Amino acid sequence: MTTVKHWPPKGAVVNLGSSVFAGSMRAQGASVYEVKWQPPAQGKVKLIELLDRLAEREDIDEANRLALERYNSARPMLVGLGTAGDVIPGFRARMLLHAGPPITWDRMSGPLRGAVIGALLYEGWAESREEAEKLASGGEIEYSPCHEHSSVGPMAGVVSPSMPVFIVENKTHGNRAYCTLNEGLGKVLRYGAYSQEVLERLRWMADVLAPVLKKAVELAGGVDLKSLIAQALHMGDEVHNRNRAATSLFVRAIAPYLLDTGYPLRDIRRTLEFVNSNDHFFLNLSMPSCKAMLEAAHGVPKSTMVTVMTRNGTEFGIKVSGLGDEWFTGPAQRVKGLYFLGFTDDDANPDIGDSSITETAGLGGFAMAAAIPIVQFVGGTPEDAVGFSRRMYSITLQESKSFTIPVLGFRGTATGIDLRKVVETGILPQINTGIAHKDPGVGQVGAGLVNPPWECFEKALVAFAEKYA
Amino acid sequence: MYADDDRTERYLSVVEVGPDFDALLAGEREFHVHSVFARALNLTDGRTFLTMLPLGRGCGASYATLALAEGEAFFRWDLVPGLEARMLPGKKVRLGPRVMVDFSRAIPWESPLRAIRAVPAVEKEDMQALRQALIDRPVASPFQGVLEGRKPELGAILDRMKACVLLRDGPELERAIAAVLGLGPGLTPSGDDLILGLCMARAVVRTVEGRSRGLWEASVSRQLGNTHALSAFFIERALEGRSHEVVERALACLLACGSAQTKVAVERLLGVGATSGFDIGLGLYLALEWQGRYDWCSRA
Amino acid sequence: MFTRLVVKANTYHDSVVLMSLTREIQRLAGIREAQVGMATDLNKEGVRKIGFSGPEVEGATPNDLVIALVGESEEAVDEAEKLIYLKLESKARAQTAQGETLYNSLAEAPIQEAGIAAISVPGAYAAREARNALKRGLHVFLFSDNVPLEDELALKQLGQREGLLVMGPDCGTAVIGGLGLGFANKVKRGCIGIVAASGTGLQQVLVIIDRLGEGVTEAIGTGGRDLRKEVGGITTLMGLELLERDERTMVKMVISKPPDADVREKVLSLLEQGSKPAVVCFMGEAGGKDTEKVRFAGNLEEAAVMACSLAGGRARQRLYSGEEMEVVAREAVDGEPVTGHLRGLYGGGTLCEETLCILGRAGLEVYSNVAWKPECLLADPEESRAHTCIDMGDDYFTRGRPHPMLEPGLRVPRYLAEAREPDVGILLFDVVLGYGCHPDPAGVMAEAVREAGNIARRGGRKLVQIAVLVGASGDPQSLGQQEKVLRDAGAVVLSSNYAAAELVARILRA
Repeated sequence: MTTVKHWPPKGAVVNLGSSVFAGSMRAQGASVYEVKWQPPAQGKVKLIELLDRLAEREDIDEANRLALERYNSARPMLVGLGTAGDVIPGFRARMLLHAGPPITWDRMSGPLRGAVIGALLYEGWAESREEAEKLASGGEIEYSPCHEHSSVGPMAGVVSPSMPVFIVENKTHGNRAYCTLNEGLGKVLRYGAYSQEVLERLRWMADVLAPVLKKAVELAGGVDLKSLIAQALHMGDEVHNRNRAATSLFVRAIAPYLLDTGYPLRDIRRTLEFVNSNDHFFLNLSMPSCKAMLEAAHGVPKSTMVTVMTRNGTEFGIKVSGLGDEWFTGPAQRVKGLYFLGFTDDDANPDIGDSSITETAGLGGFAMAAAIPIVQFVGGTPEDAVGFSRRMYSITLQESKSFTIPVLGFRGTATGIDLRKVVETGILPQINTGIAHKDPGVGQVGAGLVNPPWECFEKALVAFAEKYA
Repeated sequence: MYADDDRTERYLSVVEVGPDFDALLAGEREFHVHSVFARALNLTDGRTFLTMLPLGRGCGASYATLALAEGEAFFRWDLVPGLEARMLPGKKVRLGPRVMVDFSRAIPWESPLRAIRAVPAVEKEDMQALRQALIDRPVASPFQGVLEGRKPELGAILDRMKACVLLRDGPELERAIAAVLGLGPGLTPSGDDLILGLCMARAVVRTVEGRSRGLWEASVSRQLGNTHALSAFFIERALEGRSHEVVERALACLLACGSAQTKVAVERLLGVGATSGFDIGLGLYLALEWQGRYDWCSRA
Repeated sequence: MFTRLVVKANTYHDSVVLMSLTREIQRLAGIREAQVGMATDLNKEGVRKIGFSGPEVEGATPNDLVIALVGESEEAVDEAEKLIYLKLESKARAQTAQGETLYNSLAEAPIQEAGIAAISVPGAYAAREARNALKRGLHVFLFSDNVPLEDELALKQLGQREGLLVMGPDCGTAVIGGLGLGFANKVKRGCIGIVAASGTGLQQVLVIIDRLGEGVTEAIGTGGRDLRKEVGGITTLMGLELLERDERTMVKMVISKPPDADVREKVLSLLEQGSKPAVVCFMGEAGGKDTEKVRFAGNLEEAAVMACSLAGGRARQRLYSGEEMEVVAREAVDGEPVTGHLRGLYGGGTLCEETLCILGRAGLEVYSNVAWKPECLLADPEESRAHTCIDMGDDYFTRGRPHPMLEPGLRVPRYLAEAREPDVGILLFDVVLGYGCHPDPAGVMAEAVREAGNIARRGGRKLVQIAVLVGASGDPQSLGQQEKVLRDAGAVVLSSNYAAAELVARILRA
């Protein structure tokens, strides 16, 4: 015989399931906490079993604490610029880096192919489009994901050896991350454009923009990107699809030093004009910042924290801290969003780019509530923006200590995606993203919202359980 | 009755369902909500219309009846025109975010006219009773008073309809039909309902007699583009001898003769809508009256 | 052709919503062209394409909402415009309606304030959620059915270790601290404490107690299998112990199907050891040998009446006296004897079983999908034969559909199919009120009663229709109104299932 304890029970009731019952208890004056119940793990019994085996595991919780601690204490600084082939680790001759998980030429989508062609022309490895295509498909060029070289690239994310890159160093742990410089909107390499105009701009960026900026950054003694991102969140950016405030802050940080670089005034003016006229310039700094912080958290045995989410236009891939170098992939999804004048769904390429590293780090879609005007660009309502960011707390390990959202009462952004929670709740990470035209060279055709494919997380959980359950 | 929680989904059970719903349930054609009233909901695929009514308002070939309480209204559940009717497994149809309609237990509807195998002369008493009921009914139809001769212009048009069929005068018949079609307000105007009644009676008589469509039917068909799509659809069905159960039952009772149910069925018909029941009833009466005198339904 | 252009300055709506709204409006009868959108360049182009131009269009900014309509009539355009506002307004409302009280998982809810988890998720997932709730120190009300027996035992053992009640699985009703869980009637507080293994059985007892002017302390549900050998009555015994300790409880009640012999012994000896009088209703058993502490009731009404007599310290009468029943029967039959068969369609499983018992004792063979006697079990639940009572809340009928207590309309097609059978003379059904139940169950069934009456009249047959109305005067549906609606439609209405079954027996034996 056992005695009933905790009696009489406390007044409130948690309701799981029928909202009719929740309503009728409210009608009786009870306070009801209503759980919007969905079958766990999309109702798959085998996955639920795995989840149960991985639940309430002190060792896993401890590993996640460690990974988070490393993420939180990371301090990304822009320390300089360099040439990709010289500074990026493991960059071999005849190699091109690209966004997303590994892929071969035959499976590449239009914009990625276009960017590869552009890069081959830019490097002078080919003279014409036809020649470039032949070279690209010939097996001689080695393709490797940016992410496997501590790098990130927006959209196609193609990096060739002679391109200039930002060098971002995590001052706490010493690891570095790399990213190319943002070319602006319209016909640009990252959307697969490779016309003369595109290549000329790239050359100017290498010859003028990069050296001028490099000098200014060195004179400034580096730029603290983490604090800059934190400020930008309070100014309406989420540093994925809106970088207007962060770009301005960046200009403010380096402008005084530009004048001291000793370069001709003409070059300095063009540099300033170029950065200043491109609202997305900072994207290529927010991305390596996120990469530098997340790479510090990667490789903690038994940690379920997701440290990479990325797309190559064909596939979406993730990596998990405790699962080392293994990719878990699924098909790249269609982006739901708004199109620029004259474009429709039919023109869109599936989801592409390393820029979802921002969401992985708790920014972008996870911080959409900080950037409410963005709904005019990606669709949805202000309430949606707040709702998306709020929902992400259900799949993350913690709230950020550094990045806060004013409208949520300066609550830290949802940070550290927990593989287990994604599978358990079925809630997929929310990503804000640009939409590329499916054909090379057309450029951006819109922007919108997208989620990763469910498979990535399912496969990763199975692998995690095999290794640690 | 207490207020529904706003989030509550309504799960509606279909009691009887007419054969026309097969098009929806087979998932062959895409239907959407055409119009929503308190106690009726129309679906359409652009050509045909399917109507859902509460139980007690009667079924029909293109109707389904639902188990609803008296106070329940379709527009309480965010049902609005344009919503897609989505077929789901297990004979269920989703209408918008809050309403599921379950056809899986529905009883197939059977027409009361199926028993009519021959057309006897309609009993005088029944005709007299129908006439009296029409005269006694206070409705706002433009045809009110036509039987008593109080609407000479309309009376003249009706006479032309009668005469043109007998004289096989196509062009003049069509002009008379055009003059009546679309007369009156609403989605099914009074004039359309009257034509529907005439068509219905003719169709049933002609089917029993093994006759095909005649001059009247062709003339009506040609004029249907000039009225509302919903109304045109109802008349088209009437040309095939199909209508709402209440109409069919009234006609079946009149034709089955001397049935104790005739009075009930006629009363029920005349009670439909604001004017519809009266106008259809008048159409039936005129057609049967002319049939009795001139074989009107069988001719032309 | 009628056109209309409206520009609403600084009115932002989601473009995806506006796109689908435009499509809906374009489909309206009487509308030729429609554009509803924020005045972006693209949308302005669209508006120009359907024939609008001028400064109003050109001057609009992407922060302005533009509505452009071309229709066949003034009314059609009016209607469309009204509909657009209505839809945009309801979208805005829907978005604000989701308050902070919605959570994505149990872990997120602020459970430190909560005492009970009410779980009604599909059976396959229910045990997992219940286990999580117990681990977080919550008592569990488990409405879900189809939970495996071994899971039930494991949950109840976990609850036992933690001192937590596991009410269910398949627990339809409980009243804890005056709060009704699941399908529950609004009844007065009083001094009768109940442990019940049956939802509708408990509801029947609650409403009769309320009607007799007494009230309850706690009504603890256990789920239908608690008194089986495998489960051993864990929740029942914990509940009775709780009622023994509870100072306000003066009379204890146990309601269940006949228990396993060992469990029966345990329950009865616990009651014997207790300090308070108890009423036991093991349905299907004719009663038992009363002792000083424990009295046995043969049906639900009797159990409620006995408990009220003990609680109030004076003898209470049944709801209907013999003379009253005589009158009801006479009026129902109206002079002609009823020759047809009985068809009962129940939403409440326990009420259905009680009717089978009572008619069985009266010597009538009644077929059912839940018959205890194998020879009375229907081969096909869809096909009634002779006298039949169906539990339409049974799994067979509820798979993929709501329970008939939530949607009584699910019974209506069958009800009318039975009414059409020429050999049917009595239709019997229950209407259960209370929180969680349908807002107007009598209204739905009344339409069926009226239609069945028409069918019988057309066929020149006699058809008696009997409704068991299980409701308390405080229920949200309004008991008086529900009763009136049923009577007006032509049904005989009784407040006790026992009385209804007796009436059927009287009519059939007459």
